[in-house]
Amino acid sequence: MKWEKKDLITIEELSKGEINLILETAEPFKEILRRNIKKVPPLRGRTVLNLFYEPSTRTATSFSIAAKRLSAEIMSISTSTSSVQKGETLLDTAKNLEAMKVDMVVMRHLCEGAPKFLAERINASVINAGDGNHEHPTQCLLDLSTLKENVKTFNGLKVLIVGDIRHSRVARSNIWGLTKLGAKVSVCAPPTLIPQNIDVLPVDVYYHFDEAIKDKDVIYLLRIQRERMKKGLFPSTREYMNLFSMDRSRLKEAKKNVIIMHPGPINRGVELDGDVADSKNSVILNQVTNGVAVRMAVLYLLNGGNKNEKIIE
Amino acid sequence: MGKLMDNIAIKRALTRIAHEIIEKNKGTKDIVIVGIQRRGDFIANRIAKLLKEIEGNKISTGKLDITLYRDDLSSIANQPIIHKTEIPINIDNKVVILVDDVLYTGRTIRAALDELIDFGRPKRIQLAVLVDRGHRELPIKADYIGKSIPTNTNDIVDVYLKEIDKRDEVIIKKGQ
Amino acid sequence: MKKSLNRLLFKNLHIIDIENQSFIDGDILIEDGKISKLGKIEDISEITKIINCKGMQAIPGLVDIHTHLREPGEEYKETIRTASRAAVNGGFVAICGMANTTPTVDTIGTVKYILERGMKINLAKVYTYGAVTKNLEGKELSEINDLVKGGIIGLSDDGNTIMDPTILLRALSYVKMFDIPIVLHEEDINLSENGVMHEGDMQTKLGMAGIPDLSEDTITYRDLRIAEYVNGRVHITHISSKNTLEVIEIAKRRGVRVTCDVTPHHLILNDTKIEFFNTNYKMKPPLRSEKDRLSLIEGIKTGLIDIIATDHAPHAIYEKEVEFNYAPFGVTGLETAFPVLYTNLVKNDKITIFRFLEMLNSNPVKYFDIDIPTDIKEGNDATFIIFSDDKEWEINTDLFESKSRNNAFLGEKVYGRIEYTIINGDIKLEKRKIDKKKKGV
Repeated sequence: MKWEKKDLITIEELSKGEINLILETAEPFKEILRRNIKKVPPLRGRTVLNLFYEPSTRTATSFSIAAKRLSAEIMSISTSTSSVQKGETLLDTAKNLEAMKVDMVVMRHLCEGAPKFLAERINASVINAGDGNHEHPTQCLLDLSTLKENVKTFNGLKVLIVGDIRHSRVARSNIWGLTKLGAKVSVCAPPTLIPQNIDVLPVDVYYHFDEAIKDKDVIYLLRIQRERMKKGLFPSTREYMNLFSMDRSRLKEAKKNVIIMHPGPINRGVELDGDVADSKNSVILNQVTNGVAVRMAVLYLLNGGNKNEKIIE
Repeated sequence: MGKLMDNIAIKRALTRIAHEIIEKNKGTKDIVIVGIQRRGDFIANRIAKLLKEIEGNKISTGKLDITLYRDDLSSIANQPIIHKTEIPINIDNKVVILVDDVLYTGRTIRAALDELIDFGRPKRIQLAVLVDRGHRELPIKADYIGKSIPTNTNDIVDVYLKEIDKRDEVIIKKGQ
Repeated sequence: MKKSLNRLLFKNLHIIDIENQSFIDGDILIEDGKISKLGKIEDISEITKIINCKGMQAIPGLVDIHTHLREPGEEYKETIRTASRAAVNGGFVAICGMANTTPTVDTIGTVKYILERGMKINLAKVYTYGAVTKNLEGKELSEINDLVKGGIIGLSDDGNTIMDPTILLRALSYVKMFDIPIVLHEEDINLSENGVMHEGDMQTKLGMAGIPDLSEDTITYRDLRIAEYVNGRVHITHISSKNTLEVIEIAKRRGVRVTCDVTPHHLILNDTKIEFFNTNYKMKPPLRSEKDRLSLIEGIKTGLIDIIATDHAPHAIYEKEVEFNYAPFGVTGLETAFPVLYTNLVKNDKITIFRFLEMLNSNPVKYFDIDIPTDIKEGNDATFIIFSDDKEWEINTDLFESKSRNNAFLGEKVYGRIEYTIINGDIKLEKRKIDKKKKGV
């Protein structure tokens, strides 16, 4: 199995083999992160650009660390600065990046499809770090990598994703990734936070957390955004918490060895109690560590790849 | 196609190398044997075992995957698979004996040296190889050699080891 | 329109006979801008030009009741001139411009400007709508009498929906005095919110904000009830869903004076096209599900849908080449309607060419009082089009006369090429001449 794609835009388009290749490649990078000197040379002389149109500390930092550990040069652009504020279009940004011969671009944007737009116009590799509500591939991959450390097999693994499914790129990517590896995914949310046509996704649907929780091996909590309240999607944080918060008593209802996950940052007390986040069932911090290893694996694999498919000369 | 070494020749060569290591280093104190993935690792374990049989002390071993330190990563088409690296002890002030199956251009050893240095500062690094086939492209020299074989650049030298290939032999395939 | 004094002879045509729902083989002789003779014409003395049309067919010219001319105000997207050129390039002999220009067509001055420009350019016949409400704001009625005097063919706030039902009630009641139709763009903006594509399977996967079909059928029902209440005359433009079609069916059965149209892209494409975020598939109403599309096809077969109109909506390249969410809604259509509809509907026998022409010629003429002949007969104005059907060709932007390139059919392989567009005896389009020019002959 070799990596052939120029970009990493979605999990939906990856095969099971490609996902496993990334997960296997991430393993030696986990070892490197335990060394004294955490730096290796494969991306020496390469330039990686963090292009973040939406703010993010953790994902941007995670990619920066990953790039530096591989000896790449990393730069970051966020929308609060310079030309994007002046109204430079994405098209012009793409042309400029191409002219500056950047090697790889890590992009986060509020519009679905923006990384694809960029990838179609530049020769550099584009990594989607989150496009609107569409996908967040490296989050899914680090989640899978973390699960790999904690379960024997993905086959038949029962995973429950709880939260605003409708607006969640983390949910979409994970639904594809987990299903491709053989897991059985369910979602749990109030009906307003579940997409109208949910049956196009390979998931079971629950409205009641207490019912959903009982037989699941993994419970994945999504961050709830308070802005959603304004539009009548749910009446109040309090009501959401009563129905969907993962607290100690709900943890007791779950399987004894249930794995608790969250993409971060956590709204302590809202979707997740501090107790549960810090319990032995939680792998949340491992997710963060593995995030760097997985991103190193992605950067490493995309660095080789078939650069023969030049888009523009 | 010709057999350069059979299983007996390999055994004798490795035994001799073990004795040479002891002689050159006046014993096995502070020695760490590090094999270069993948066949160098098996040879390293055999040498460590031989040293233990001769001197009586257990010898520390480790393994190194040099993929990330290769100098040709940007020019090859796809990124190669990375195997495990395990250096379980601190190599500061130790005598590290790098072990590989075939010494050819010397680039693998250069990569191994760079990686090793990232782990610490050994007192001394020595190199043991089963086969030296010449055609160095870098100024690298082995301290311990199983067999020196003159080859052409289009010849192929294959090392087969019991641990993964079910037999011990070194075969040369002459190029056109 | 000026009439030509030339005598033109088009020979060896397969000429449609709408009255008898058949074809005849023969020639068309044009004198003084009228069809003077049909059939085998032997005497070719004193003929200015003889054109051999072997293998080609002659049919009435197409009429588009929903075009966006963009002039006045957005001439960088399209002008009345380039829209007219695009029209004749696509076989359209008459186009009707919507009122959402800048300024909007809510005063007699703007009406006259547009009509005069159209006449001066003298290609396709240019008509214009007037705005129902001032500046399309949906609050105050325009001075409709003035607009009618200026020569509008109908009223429409298209681009916007009249959200306040009382305003629509007043408007529909008031215009009974003038007997012109109100054309409605049906979109409940509260339900469509910031949606950019049909709320359905593809949208669920892509995560973008959705426009539920609910936003169209609920307000269509509301507006048709209002029309029924005052016995007013409405035309629902660019319908896109099965549910809207069912609402219209019920209304027609109840005797409501309603007609409706559908666009070529809604008949041929569905929401799966948006998979890779190509903004040439972004328009309002959005491309919906295959189920909706098939019901629209059924609608044109049964006659429930009266007219096909392009909703030609040009936008500059730089406006469309952006992130999907930021791109303006709309695609062009004048130059692709005939080939895509002919290939996908007529050529494979889903509808006959007679039904096709009902929707693109005789019904627009009937319901909008457009002065274009609906048949090729001796004595009629010499306004018709000639097309060839023998070669497959690919739709690409090099062939467009429109200023804009945002078309949903780029790369499609089609049959049916407009060779000649003749209006009142003048040849407004001669494809073979353009081909020669391109080859440098």
